[in-house]
Amino acid sequence: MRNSYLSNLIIISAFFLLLISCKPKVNSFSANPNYICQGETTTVIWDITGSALLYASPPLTSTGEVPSVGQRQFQLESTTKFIISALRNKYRSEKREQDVVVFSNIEKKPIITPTEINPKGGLVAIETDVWGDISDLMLIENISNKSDRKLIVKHGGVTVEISENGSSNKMKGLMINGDWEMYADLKPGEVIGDPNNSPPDRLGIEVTLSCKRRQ
Amino acid sequence: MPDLSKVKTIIIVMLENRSFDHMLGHLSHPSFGNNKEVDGLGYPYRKYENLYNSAPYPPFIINKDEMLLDDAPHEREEIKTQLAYSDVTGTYTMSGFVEAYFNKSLNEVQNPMVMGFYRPDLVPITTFLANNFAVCDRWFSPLPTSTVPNRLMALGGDTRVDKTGGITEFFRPLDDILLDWLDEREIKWRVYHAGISFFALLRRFSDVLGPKFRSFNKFPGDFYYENENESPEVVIIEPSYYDAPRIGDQPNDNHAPLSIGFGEQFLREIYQAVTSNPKKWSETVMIVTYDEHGGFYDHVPPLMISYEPPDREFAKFKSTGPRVPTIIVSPFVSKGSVIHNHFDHTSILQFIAERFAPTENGYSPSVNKRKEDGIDSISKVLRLNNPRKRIPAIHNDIIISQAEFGNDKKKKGLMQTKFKKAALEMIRQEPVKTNKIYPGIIQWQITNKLI
Repeated sequence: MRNSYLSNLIIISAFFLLLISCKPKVNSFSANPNYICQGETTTVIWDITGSALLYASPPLTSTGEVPSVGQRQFQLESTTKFIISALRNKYRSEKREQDVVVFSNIEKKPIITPTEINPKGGLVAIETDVWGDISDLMLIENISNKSDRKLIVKHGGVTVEISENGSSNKMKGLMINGDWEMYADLKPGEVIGDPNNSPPDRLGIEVTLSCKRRQ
Repeated sequence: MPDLSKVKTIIIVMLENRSFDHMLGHLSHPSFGNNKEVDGLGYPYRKYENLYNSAPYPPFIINKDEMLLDDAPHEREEIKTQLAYSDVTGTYTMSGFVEAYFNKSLNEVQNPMVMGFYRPDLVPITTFLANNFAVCDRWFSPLPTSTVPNRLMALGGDTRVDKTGGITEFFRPLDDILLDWLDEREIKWRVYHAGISFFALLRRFSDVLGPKFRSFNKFPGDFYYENENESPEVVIIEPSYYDAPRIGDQPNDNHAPLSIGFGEQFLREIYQAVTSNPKKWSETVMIVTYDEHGGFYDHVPPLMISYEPPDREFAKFKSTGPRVPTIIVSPFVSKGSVIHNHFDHTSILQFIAERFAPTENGYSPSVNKRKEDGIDSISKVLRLNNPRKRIPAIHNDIIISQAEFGNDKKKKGLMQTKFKKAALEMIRQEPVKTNKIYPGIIQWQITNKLI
């Protein structure tokens, strides 16, 4: 009687274990680092319940069917999207994506930020979280004004004034992380809060960066 | 505008959770329709860019019909982020869709799906209907929030809830909705459902299991064969909802992350049915719309039309929701017309009241207020006095979505929980009738270990 009870318990437990294991799931999926210079390597790490398929776009060798838990290194020449798919069959799957951004030696990156009302007059746009992940990777070469008006830009203890369509290399060698502040005056006829005559909802610059290889 | 008595049948098709630009933005795009009359998408993309961590995210073309990665956020607070009101411009800047998505999603990709818009060949039936009938490019969801409040606005002109989550009952049973309004005036109506009906969520089980609710499979035959005395004057066609218990039919409501092909096929079946009987078609107005934008980007700011609930159950809304794709399919509209009047879902109620109760003072005070605030009736779209004779032919190719159906248990959202509770309650109250109307429901219970 007791043996029968135990065997039933084992069968039921095995059944539930089988059910749980049948559910495909992406437990974790990451690429580290996910910002690199051209030619550097990244490590893709995954933990899947179910069968695992790793895709890359553009395609890379060493992708396709992979073990349920594993990691692979890839040397990348261009920005790549990795997709891990956990699957049990055609109808039961889960997938997750991860982009690895690959920078050329010289990159141009915009910093575009919503405008606010400057209590001292005009407009201000403040950005405090510019690409934290790549802050140790990219160094400033110069900055260009991409707004339709003169800007005063403050960053890393340096203040520069840039005319419309102008550029400046006074911030050369600084890292991109940290606060960026942009100030601008209103143009004639612009009225804050008037939808028909409002100033722009954003100010922007373009930062030219050089990629500092880690490897 | 025609004499509205010429309109004998009004059909309402309300799908789920897509924005105007996402589905119909291609109409004006130079690479596709290039129809400058439509306020859709075009170059330069810079004017549409959303911002996240100071980086711009422009719209992009969706080149393949596949299951999307996620659902997109679309509750009240999340939509506030999406609309991104600016004190500087005094307007909604529509620049926070990516931020709202990334705040919720694990997929921080370069092309976040909320900025994607479909190529016309991936939405062939929607494109066909748009090109042959009337596109409303200023049709907004009534409220900047999620499914339930917006559907309640469509069904009655009022809502006592401002979001889908965090509530135990969706709607007070005593509140009248369109079905009651029609019954009071002895106007014939019918609901055709491809899956479990939304009305089950309102606990209207006697309706849902009654003779006026029929499977969508019956619709083509009913529309073709029934004579005018039997035919309903107002028809609501419900898709198979992604969030509802799966009882056999493929979900086809277009709720993300569903691929779009299933919904397109559903629209094709509906169109072929309503054009199968030329006499009835010549007296039909069909509204194809979406309950809300579902978190997908749209570039047109909402209308500054406020809404306060009947007993101030929640803080008032200051605006409508974003635009949703809406096409008026009828022989009373010109081919390829584009209507810029302001509409929302209560425009349907205005129109029904105009048509069936012209001597009354509108549908309801709430709907009348929206009318005073600038929301027009669908009658403004009907610009032909007599029906067009030629019925545009739709191509007969079967639309097969290449996408996966998706994992039934992957997502356990609030709507799924609500649908499940409603289904179980319906079975408990009316087991025999429920099994007759939804023959797959017992299998669903067994599969999900609910009995």
